[in-house]
Amino acid sequence: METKADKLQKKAIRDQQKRIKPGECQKYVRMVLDSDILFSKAHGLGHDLKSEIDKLQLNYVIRNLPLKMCVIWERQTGQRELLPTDNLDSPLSAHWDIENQVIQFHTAEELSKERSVSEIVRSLQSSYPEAKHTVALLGHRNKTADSKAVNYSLIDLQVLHQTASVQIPPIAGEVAATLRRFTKAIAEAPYKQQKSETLGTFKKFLANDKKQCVRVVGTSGFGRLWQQHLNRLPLVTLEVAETIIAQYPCPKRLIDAFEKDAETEREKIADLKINRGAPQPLQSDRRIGNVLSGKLHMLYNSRDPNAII
Amino acid sequence: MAQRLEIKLKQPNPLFEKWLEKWLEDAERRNTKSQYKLREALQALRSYPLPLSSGRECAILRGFGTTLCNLIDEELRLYNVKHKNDVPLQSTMQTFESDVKQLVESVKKSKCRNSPKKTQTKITKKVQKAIAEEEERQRQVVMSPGSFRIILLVDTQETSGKNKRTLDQTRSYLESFELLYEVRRLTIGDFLWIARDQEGNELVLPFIVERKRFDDLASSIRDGRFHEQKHRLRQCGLQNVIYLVEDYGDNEHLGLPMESLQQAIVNTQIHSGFTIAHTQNNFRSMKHLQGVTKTLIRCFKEKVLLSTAKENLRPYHSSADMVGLLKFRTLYEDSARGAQLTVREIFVQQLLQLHSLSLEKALAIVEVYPTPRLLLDAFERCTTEKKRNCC
Repeated sequence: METKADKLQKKAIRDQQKRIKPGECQKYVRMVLDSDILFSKAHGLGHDLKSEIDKLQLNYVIRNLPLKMCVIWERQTGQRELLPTDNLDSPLSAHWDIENQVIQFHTAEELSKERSVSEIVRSLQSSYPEAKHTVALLGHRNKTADSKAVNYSLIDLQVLHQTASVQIPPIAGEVAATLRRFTKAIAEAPYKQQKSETLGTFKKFLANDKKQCVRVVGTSGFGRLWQQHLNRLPLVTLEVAETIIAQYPCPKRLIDAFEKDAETEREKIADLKINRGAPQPLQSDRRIGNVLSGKLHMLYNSRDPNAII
Repeated sequence: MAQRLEIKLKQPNPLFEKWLEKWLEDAERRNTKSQYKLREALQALRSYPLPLSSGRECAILRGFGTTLCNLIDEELRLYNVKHKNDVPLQSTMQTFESDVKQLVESVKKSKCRNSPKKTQTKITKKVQKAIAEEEERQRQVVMSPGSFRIILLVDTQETSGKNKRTLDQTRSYLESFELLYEVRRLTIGDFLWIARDQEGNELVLPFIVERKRFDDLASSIRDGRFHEQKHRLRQCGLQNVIYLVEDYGDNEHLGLPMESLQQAIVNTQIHSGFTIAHTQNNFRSMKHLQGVTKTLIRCFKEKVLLSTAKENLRPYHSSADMVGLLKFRTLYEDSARGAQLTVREIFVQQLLQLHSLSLEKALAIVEVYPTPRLLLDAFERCTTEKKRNCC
């Protein structure tokens, strides 16, 4: 019997899942811009930036951040305390959690000064030790690319300090567009994280294979399905699969044969001749071979999922 | 039954080898461009098992162009003049053949005396090889400061293949920067850095570069390779992935809207944790790699490098005095597309072949029945009819 508490918990989980879905999630994430950014005279920032951000209808607040010229992000997590009389559908309380990304704006002049990179990294580390930092360089890529000092700084940032950097043309519209991209990516991050947790344990990337999948209607289609099953093994080409299918038209036959007598079956499979079209005098690998035979055996008989094929 | 006898000359071309070594040493000392070709030629000569009688014959080997062959012939001419009356140092094919005949006779005689142990060697040879490979994998390699050189490895796909013009450019830019680099087939990434010591051990620095020109980026997103490539890069064990995005002219006609591509790049930084570097063209990309290489050389100069297994790798900090690194051979073998697949993974892929089975359902099935065998066992145990995958 489901208690009210159980129901509430399930609803909370469902709501949370909905909230991190792409599309929905952006409603719950906002930018926090340091006030200095909006008073900056640098090209691309200041009032121009504010109007561009407003044009894009981005969710943001302005605050005096502990580290100047930074942008951080916050997410509404929907923590709420419910009184017995509260309505379940009441709006989320205004509790915002900080996200783990920080951007700090810099100009090319600042970056070309000596030791500036280590100082920038140090201050970012002390103000936001848990976050991933990005140095946003305001400058045209064409022009700053010629500046050796800036290039060295960027490379030091990348290699010595393992800190990200992004170059933005000093135009308010471009800066706003960059901020929007970051916001979108950060908003969707928990969803992507969830997906990668399950997929990440597999060595092979799994989400791609749907293109060749087989529609099985009634009993037809199983033949093609069996062939594609065999193709999943790295050594199996079309001809190899056909040879196997000729001998074992369906998986059950293969498995039963293994059950009867594994050793002889393996040798039998190993000796199956692959027909590669016109017979050529010097072809040596017309057999299935011991290796592949062994792998087939292991695939359909192993009870250890981590056995390496 | 006939037995196979393998006879190899220890040094079939000692004279030519000596000369090449001397020329290589000179080239290295003067740091000229010819050292790369000389090294390649010397390696090829060392691997060639038969005696060569002239510079012209050397032309069959890799790295021997007309200039080098002529140099050898000239050196040979001078040598013959000097040593007209001496016994020839370099064996010719005829002497080689007669020597081989003699050797075969003597082996035959000794074989008659000893009892044959043929079948024993046949079984253990394969096992021996496997044991040797495993030992090589486990063997610990330590490199102390000053005992290694850092070399940029360039994937063969970056210097040959589809668009030969741009890709020859890559090679010529790298040559002009006078970087220590080598073209090699890589199973993951487009550029890597290795530390190599005198014995030839190679450890991979924890940085890997995937170069993506804007048109590549667009096409890989459209055909689905984008996520697969990123997945493999995250799995390889090299912590710092540099995603080198390169402009393609004016970035027009890419097949996808520019905003989507820009979002994909930001997603790569935020979700996959890669470092993004954005360059305008091939030259600037190579220049960037030159900068990174120099910085890495500076950074790793005083470090002690230790070979480490993938599961024991620790996060890399540039301030550390000692760093655990993967062996190149290990990385190469483990990152190949078909490498190290488990039964579970193949089973999931098989399940996905069915149109109505979604990824979530397949993963759920594999959670309870991780191998085909276990699923079949369960079927056998149950009494009700379920959907089965057979004819």
